[in-house]
Amino acid sequence: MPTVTDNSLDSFLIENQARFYRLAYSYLKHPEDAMDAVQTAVCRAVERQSGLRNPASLRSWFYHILVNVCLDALRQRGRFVPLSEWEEAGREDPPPADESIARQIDRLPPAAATVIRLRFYEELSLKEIAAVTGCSVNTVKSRLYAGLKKLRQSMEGEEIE
Amino acid sequence: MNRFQHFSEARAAYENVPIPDGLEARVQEGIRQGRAARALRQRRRVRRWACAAACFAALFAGLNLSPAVANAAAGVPVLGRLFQVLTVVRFEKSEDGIDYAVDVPAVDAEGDLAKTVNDMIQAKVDLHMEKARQDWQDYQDAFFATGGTEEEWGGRTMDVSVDYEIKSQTDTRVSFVVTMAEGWVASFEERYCYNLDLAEDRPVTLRDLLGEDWVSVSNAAIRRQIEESGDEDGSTYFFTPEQGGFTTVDEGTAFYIREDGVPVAVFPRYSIAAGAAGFPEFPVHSPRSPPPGPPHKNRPAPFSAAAGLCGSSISQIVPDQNLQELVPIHLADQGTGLIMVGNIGGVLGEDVAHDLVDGVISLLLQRLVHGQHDPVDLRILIDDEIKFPGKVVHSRTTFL
Repeated sequence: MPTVTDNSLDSFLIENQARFYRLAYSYLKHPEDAMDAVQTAVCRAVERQSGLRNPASLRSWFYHILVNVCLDALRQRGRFVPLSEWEEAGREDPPPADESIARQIDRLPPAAATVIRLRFYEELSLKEIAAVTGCSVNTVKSRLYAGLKKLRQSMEGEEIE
Repeated sequence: MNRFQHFSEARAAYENVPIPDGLEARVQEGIRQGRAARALRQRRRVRRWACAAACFAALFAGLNLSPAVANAAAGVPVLGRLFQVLTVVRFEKSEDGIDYAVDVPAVDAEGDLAKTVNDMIQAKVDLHMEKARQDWQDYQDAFFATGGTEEEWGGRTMDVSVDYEIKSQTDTRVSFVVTMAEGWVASFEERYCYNLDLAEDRPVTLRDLLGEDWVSVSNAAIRRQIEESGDEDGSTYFFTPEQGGFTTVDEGTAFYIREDGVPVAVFPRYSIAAGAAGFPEFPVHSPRSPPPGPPHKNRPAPFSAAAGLCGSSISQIVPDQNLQELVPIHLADQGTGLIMVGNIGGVLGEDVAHDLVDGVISLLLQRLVHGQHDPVDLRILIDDEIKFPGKVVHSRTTFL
């Protein structure tokens, strides 16, 4: 029976830490909070390592943990905070090169934003996204299409094919 | 520019988010913490009691090994209550593609309640295991029926687990949550909460903790937290009542009791919110009932001067250092008003050590009563939670 060894899990976590950080940052919009989230997710993953029996599912398994940690962090803040509020609060916040699309994604409902980030930023398959978010592939598709539709509607003056 | 060009640019921006220098150290720390937590988890029951009563650690370790020691400990009035929740069944095995990791808790106490709860837990565990076996079989059948091959199946396995967590315990009361899960990546999970008053041999209810108005108090707290979870556009994971979202608590609402005595309502996944919200939890603070347990050392006694000033409806005064927002206060016999939080040092124009806050509050109240200041120029914060010593509440808004 294939298992995930300590060494293979450690290697995966260390080699992909930048990706994990960027995904957490896309939720939390603050460097320290994003590092907290990554550390928490890493800790949980290592603690629950025995729960993963198929090494091929390691990526979606860990993203599932990381996304939930980020969502928990947002809930503990009390609400989902739009990017503009974080800027007003004076937090360190490197502006994205393309503010319009990134901002619009941030303003989507959290479920749709998650699907779009995982699909277009992290290039997960719809099946993997379903595994990460704990819903069916059809639900992932619905959220993806609803999110894209909303993005199209909100980007005025842009010609979208 | 087409849609995918937009996303390409956005992705480029995403990839260019700078990575902090300290990230790798945090990842390494997370790995270390996870390994330590895993080792601790295996010794959890002994360690939990050792932390609670270090001098009994050796005795408790013996409890797991010697029935004679266990019986002797149960006969000692003080010690007996410490061993009220024990794991009776713990096993790990692999069978038919399912990996089981099961810790089934049982309540060890006299009375019918313990037996009823234990029977209930065991029945749920049996049902969970049977459901998991059936789900796994159904999944396999569907996989191969839709053209999947043995090679694609690749020796998959599913995890089935039963675990528990003690949320709080006093001499007479215990609150714990049993979690039952199945799955291999996206897990299916159920949680069951048990709140037992073993002295009175009955379950603890929300009415016990929140009073006769427990429904309205709970509903208000939950609705407020749901509302606060939304962003500026009103987007939230929570369904509206029309969509099947939260409407009201009832006798069947699950909850556990935190260490500070605050009940936390728990809702099943998907019941009132999208799955990504997990198991929504909502602390519900009683506006009148203080949390159980020994008083916090920093909690000041009620001030008679303040009671006289505000109409005798203040039950306790608790400073909260970290309050950062307007707090609606409702006092019996008075209208609802708003509190502006100020720094106690700012009120007095000087720094005040935290351990002097109690005395400062008393001094301020005396000044108000005897110093002929505007009697409504000071507000008192009422809060059931003790966090830090800190700030006095100051407001210019009259609401008395």
